Amino acid sequence: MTNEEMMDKLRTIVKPYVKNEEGFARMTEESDLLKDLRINSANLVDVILDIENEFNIIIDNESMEKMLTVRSAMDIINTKLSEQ
Amino acid sequence: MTGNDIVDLSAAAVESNWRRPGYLEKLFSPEEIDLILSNKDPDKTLWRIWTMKESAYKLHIRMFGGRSFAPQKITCTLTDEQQGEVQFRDNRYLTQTSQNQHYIHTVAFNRADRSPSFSSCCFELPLVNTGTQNSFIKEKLTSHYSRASGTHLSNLSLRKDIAGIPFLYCYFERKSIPVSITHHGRYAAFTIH
Repeated sequence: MTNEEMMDKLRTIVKPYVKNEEGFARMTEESDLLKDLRINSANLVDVILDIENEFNIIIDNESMEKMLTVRSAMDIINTKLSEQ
Repeated sequence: MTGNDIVDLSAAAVESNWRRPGYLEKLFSPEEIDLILSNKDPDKTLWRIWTMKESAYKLHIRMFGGRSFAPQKITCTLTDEQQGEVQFRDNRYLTQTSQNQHYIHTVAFNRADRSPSFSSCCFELPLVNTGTQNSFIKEKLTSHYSRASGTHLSNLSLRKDIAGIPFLYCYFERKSIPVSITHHGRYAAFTIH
């Protein structure tokens, strides 16, 4: 999967939880899920569960701790996919 | 210092489906899940524990820095209807929760702070855009402190440090007062130390 394909999938996943539409329109790998996209922290777990379902992976608690930016989400997905 | 967090119960009911498979296990310890599911009002218990975790996390970040999303490592015990304790990375915090049918609000403070001196205020926001709501909160906070301290409004400015943590700055005394601000749905709250 290319970075661009993964970005597209992530855009679709985070969209329902985003509170800052401007931040979403400008979403890049650098975007902070909480500060830039203003996803409610109680919804961050929905993003994580949706990622697990979409990519068919399990995100353990250690990985979840780092899930604060789009880049860290992509890194975690890539690591989990390569372990399969 | 304090941290505080508010949950608008009707917004939470729309935004979060905690009954979806895997949800509770990612956020709560087995003991907390028992507390939530055995209570006659699981929603209120869940959001109370959540505001305890969030308020303690905010206080912890303020003191030590180091962001993370590790809700399972922030463990809560309920002392009574209002008081609770939170453990996170070798630190223990005390919490005080107030609730009504609209919202649940928790303030966390240091365990060593036996009689913490803070003032806290919860209020409903006007139905306007986010920018206007933020100005409303700002005005409410500065006028609250101005009245309580006898400081003129023109002496006060609400600012954020590099980490995004808010504080109230008094120009004349050149002093910074730690504040914690929370906002969810139609409700907002702040604590001033």
